[in-house]
Amino acid sequence: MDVDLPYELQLVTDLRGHEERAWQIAWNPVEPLLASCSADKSVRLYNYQPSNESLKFSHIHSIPTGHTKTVRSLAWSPSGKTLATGSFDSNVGIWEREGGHDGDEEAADWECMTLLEGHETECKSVAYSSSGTLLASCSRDKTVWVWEVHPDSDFECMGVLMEHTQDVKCVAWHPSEEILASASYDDTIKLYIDDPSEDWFCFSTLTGHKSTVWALAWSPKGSYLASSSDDLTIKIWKRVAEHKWECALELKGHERSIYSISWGKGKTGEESLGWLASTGGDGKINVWDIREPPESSTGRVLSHKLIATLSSAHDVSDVNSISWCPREGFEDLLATAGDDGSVRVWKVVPSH
Amino acid sequence: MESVERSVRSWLASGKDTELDETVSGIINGQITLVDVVKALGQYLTSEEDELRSKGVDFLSSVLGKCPLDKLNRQAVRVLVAFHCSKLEDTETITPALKGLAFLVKFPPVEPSDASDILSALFKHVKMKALVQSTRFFVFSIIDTLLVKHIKALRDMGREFLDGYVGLAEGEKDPRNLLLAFAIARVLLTQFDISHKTDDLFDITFCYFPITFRPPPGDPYGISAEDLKKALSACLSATPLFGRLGIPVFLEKLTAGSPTTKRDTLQTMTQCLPVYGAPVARDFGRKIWSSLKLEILQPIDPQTESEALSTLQVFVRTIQGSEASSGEVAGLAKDICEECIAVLREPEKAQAKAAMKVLCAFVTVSPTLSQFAISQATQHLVSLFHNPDEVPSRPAVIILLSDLVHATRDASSTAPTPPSRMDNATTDHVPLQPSKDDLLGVFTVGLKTPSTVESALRALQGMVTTTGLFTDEEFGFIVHAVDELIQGDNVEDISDNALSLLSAISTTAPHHVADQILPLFFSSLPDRAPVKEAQDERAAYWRALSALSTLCVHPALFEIFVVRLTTKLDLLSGSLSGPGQGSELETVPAYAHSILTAISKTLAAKVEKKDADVPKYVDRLLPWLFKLFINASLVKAASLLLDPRLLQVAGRIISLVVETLPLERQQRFTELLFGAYLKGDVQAITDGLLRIPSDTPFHPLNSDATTPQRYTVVLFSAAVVSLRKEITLPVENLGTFLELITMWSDSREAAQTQREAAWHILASVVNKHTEEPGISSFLTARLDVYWLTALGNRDATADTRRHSISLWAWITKALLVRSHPISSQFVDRFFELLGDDAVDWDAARAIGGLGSGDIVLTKRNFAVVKVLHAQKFFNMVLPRILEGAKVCDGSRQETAYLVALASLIDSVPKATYRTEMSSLMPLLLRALDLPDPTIRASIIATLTGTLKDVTSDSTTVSSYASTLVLAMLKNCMLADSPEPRVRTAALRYLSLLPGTVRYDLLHPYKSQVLKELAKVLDDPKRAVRKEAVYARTNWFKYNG
Amino acid sequence: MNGEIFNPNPTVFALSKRSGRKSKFETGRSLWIDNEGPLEQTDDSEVESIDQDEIFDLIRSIADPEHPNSLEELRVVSAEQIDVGQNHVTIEFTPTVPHCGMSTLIGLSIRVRLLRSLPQRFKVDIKVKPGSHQSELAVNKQLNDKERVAAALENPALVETLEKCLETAGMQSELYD
Repeated sequence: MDVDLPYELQLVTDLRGHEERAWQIAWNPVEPLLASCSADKSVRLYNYQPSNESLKFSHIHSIPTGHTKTVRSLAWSPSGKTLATGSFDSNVGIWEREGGHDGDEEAADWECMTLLEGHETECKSVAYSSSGTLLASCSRDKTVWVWEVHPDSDFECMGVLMEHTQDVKCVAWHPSEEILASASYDDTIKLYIDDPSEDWFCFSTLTGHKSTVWALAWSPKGSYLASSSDDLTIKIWKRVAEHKWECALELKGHERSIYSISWGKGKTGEESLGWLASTGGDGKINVWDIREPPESSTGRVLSHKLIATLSSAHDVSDVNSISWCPREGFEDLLATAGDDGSVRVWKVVPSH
Repeated sequence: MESVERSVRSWLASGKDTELDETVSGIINGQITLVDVVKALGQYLTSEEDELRSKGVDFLSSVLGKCPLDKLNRQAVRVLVAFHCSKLEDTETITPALKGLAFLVKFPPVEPSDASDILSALFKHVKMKALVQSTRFFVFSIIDTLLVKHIKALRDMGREFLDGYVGLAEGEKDPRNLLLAFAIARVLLTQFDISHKTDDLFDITFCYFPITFRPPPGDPYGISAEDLKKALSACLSATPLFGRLGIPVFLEKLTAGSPTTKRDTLQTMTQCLPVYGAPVARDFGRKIWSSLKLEILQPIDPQTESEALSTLQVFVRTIQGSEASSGEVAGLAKDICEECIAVLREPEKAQAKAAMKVLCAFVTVSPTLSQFAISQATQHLVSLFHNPDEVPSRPAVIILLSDLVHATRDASSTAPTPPSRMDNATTDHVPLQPSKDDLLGVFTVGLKTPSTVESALRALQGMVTTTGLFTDEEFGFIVHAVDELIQGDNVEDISDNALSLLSAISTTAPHHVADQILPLFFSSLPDRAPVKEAQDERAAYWRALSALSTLCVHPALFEIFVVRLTTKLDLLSGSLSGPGQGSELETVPAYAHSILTAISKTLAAKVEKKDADVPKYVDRLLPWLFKLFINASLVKAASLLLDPRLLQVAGRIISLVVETLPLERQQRFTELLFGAYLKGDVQAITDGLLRIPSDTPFHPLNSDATTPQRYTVVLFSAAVVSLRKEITLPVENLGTFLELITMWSDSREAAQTQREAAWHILASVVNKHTEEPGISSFLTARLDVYWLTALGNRDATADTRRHSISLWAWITKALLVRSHPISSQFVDRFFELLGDDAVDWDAARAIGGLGSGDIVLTKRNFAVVKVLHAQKFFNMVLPRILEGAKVCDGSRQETAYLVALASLIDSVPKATYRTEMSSLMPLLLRALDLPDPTIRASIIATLTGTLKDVTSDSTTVSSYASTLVLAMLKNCMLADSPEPRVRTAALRYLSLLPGTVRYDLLHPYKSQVLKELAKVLDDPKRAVRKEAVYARTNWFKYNG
Repeated sequence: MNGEIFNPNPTVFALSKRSGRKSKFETGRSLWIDNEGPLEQTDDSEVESIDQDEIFDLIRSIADPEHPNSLEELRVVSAEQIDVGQNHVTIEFTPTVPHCGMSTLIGLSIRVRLLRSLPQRFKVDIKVKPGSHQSELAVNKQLNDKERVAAALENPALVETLEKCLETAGMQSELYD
């Protein structure tokens, strides 16, 4: 099927070990660490080191977590020191490394610092704000919770946002500002900010998707927000004013639910808005290069180019999560997690 | 006397039973009396020390327990009774005292007065709550014994006894005591005047209902919930007095209870209602009905539903009581019927089905009610059927009526002819009689629309199988209706229901079938075989044939069937006797084969039901068969007829007929048979149908016989095999005859089919005529000459040797099944071959095969078969095999032994090796790695067998569980076992493991098994996938 | 299943003859009668791909949560309502009444049955028959949201109910051999 695209996805490694479906992966923003979570209630940590022009991934630790149900979601704090887990047991776990420092991971042991209880049903997603001072979580109980992070892993609930009429599937923080976005089974996306006088509130609802919105991804500079849905489309919303967002582009390219998207800097220079990767129930990975239209051109539409694609990325399995490595120099590194329980790492390389 | 004191002293010290025995023997041989014992105990019995007192009494009681019943005189008894009773006041001695009494009451000299004294004492002093279970048990057994021996005395005690007993029994919890208490209660309820005590007795029995007792793991008395249930319901159903109190309890349990409680309650009600009697049942009638109705119209599960139905039957029978005979239905029964009829207004609904079940249940209650229910139901449904607005519900209506018809038929067939009524002079009791015409009308209309035809056929089936319902011309009418039905589309597409309806009719009114139906089918049989490409025509003729063979079992029809089919074949034989060309080579014999198969199928069915007309076909069919094939065998060029498959069916037909012949008829037939095959006289066996030119003699058994002629020996063999053992075979010497057959089968030209035919002859004759002259010399000749020249002859080609191995196996088996001593020598030779690379595996398989059953050496074929011969054989060879497999590890020879083991296990009945499993398992597991799929399949089958078999202990399996799991996973993978049957077998095994092996042993494998099986779900073969699904489901359910 | 009965008196239909696979001989494909059963493999290399009938056999005997009847008897499922593609299956089912509160449970039981019995390569979509249920879209959406299905299957009470419905699922297949 490979219509000649400029790039292709090269399998760097296939990390097996989860006994059941792997739900999500998260790259540590600071250290060479990749974390994955699974229905087997465990979190697995991999470290990676350059080894002759490739990378060598090695499993260094497994956290049994103690969540009584599926661990659905993962998030690293910007400092890379703390890991948050969201579970179907409705709790959010906060994990930090005890002993064994950056040098020898093996010695490290991960301990649960606190357990954030509050959601009534399955927690589906967790996310740290860019400053690391805020943590957001969402659940089937239709709420989004915003927690303030205090020293010694002490958390204070700043607000419970009950805007959605259904199951909230995903939360995502703006890369620089304290703007929170949430996506839901009710087909909408909601944007929230903290009103200094008041409380957290929803300042905008983005409608247009025709079914569940599964995932959200902010553009690296934050002027755009991408959303993927069960309606098989990806929409890109442009910030047209301080608090105003409009749909600027719709991408198609999947045959089944698009469960996950990730927007990275990419390696195609400054004029690009970066690379947007998507995946889902059709087991396919798509990578788009997104660009702003030249000022000259009248069309305000974003230009987009499918630069790489790969089918059956996890053989016959659904792919549940995709994520660009956020670290300097690794912009072309992509990780995915699948129903086959495996975590795969891909490198975007020019095709020849 | 001193001796007593001594043993008392030392017993108090040691508690040794020997001391007791000494005293007891003393009593037995009259040296001492129990009174002496009491004296000897004197000081202790009155001692201040509690322990001494109780021990003292205990000694006495224990002695009583061992003392023969004739060793106590009246005097002693009176003393002892008084003594023990007095000891009841003392809390230290009450237990041994009760123990003593429990023994004492068994002694004959005990008199009624004693009985009442004992009881009064019990009632006065015994506080059950203060006593342990075992002590309370004494109390109950005392009362139990007295009830048996002195019931009158107890009756005379009147209130005192009943009050006292109730006081004691109240609040008992222990199952063992309860069993006794229930037994006692049952007696009180049935044989005492309890009118004033009903409520209390009700309380101490009904409070246990329903029994929810679950026996503790290591229960020493092994009392099951069932025992308690039985004993209790025997009480609950003991007296009508319980009726008014009991029924409310039942109804309450019924509405509130769990499914198990519901069922338990329903069963108990079924037992109680008849005892409680009509009046009570009537008073609670509405309530009872409405709760039963719930269980039937909105059932929680099928078992409960059927329980409710049988309760309903009993209930209605009870309230009907006298009414039954009075001839008309009134009251509740009537209302219930009408209620159900009302539900039938929506016939396609679930409740309609249920309502019909109720009405069907009524059919067996009483003739009157049955009449009423049937007429009401039919009237309603029939009119519904004919109502133009209700056309959509017609399918449902027919199904309901069909249910009713079948229920009625079964009721009248099982029930004894109903009690005479005034009208029984005029009509015989066929309950369906009155509604017959209506029903017939509905069903025949039903035949006309696709949506109803099948159920209509099933309904009619029910009617025609109701004895005495239809007249001959009514049968004709139905057949005609079916005729029209099948006229419509292709005759041969007739449905199974239509077929079974017709064959049901054919048993009572064959001529209708013969006249109206058979012609259709015969005419749809082509005169020439359809060409290879004509799949549909071929399918068509086969369906026609199988329809015919189902229909033509009745003698009259079978006769026609045979005539028509043989003529068909005669038509064909033209093209058959020739060499044929092109696709004919296949199609023609295939067609002929189908025809013969049809005949043999029907014949087999007739033999099964011992039809008297089978033997006559020795004249009607066999000559023609022999003519057909012998004639074909005379032509120079190979004839199409002489296809092994054709010969085999022909052979089957011959055996079927011959086995039914009486001795002397068989003898006559045998003469002709041997005349033909040994002397070439074919005229007789073909009944003159075949005269052969002298230039082409028929001598199939000659060494220079032509291939076609050789083939006809298959028929000869088929006949010989089913001859009785009393038959004298017309040959000068049996030995030479068998020698001839042996050489004939070993000759190079012989084809496999011919060889097998020959082997069957050998086996059958050796087995039936072992003791007759010629045979033993033949056998010894095998053991020396033949062994050296054939089996044991390493210079002979492997093929030749294989043939002789099979021949050898057949002879051995013939001897084994009649447990003939010489057989062991034959078996030994096989073991010698296990070291012989050229044929070791064949020998190994042969050894295994020896234990298996076969088609030749059967009782049916009059073979001499000793019981347990398989067992004997197994015990003889198994140790040798185990030994062999052990010594030569890993070698090729070990493999040979494993092969032998595998095929042996596969061939003998489970029972033979059940006990050996533990020693077999390691070998079987090793054999599972052998490449040969047949072996693996058979091993897995064996293992499966032992899993399924409940009696075999699962410990062996458990100890190998993990190895087994892995082995089976390997065997169910396409990659490791290309043969579907192996994969299927392995999966079948895996699916059974969870049911047999404790979860904790296998749970480490659960996720692996599920993962691996997930792959098998994609197997290319449907059958394999089906098993995989089943296995995987079981493993999902497999939890601690 | 808090005692509420959504359809106390459903229509019960006769069971269709089970997928009648004919032997090669019965269809005239082979010349000679094979004495084996109808399912015996004559040719080991031949691939029998998973089809409508086979999938129907998997789900037909699932028990209705509300009645002692199978989904087939209540015509909740039927072979015609199954669509099989290369790696894709769509199952349509028909609740006995438009307000049936059991629909999600029924759909779920079908999904679980297939989850356990179909090769992983198959993507399964389960939908109620268009127009057969008052909250059709809601039910469909829920049944096809893998995250919610996954969560549901971690709910012990629900799983127990499901297992009850599935107990009977294998039965007919067993009658087979």
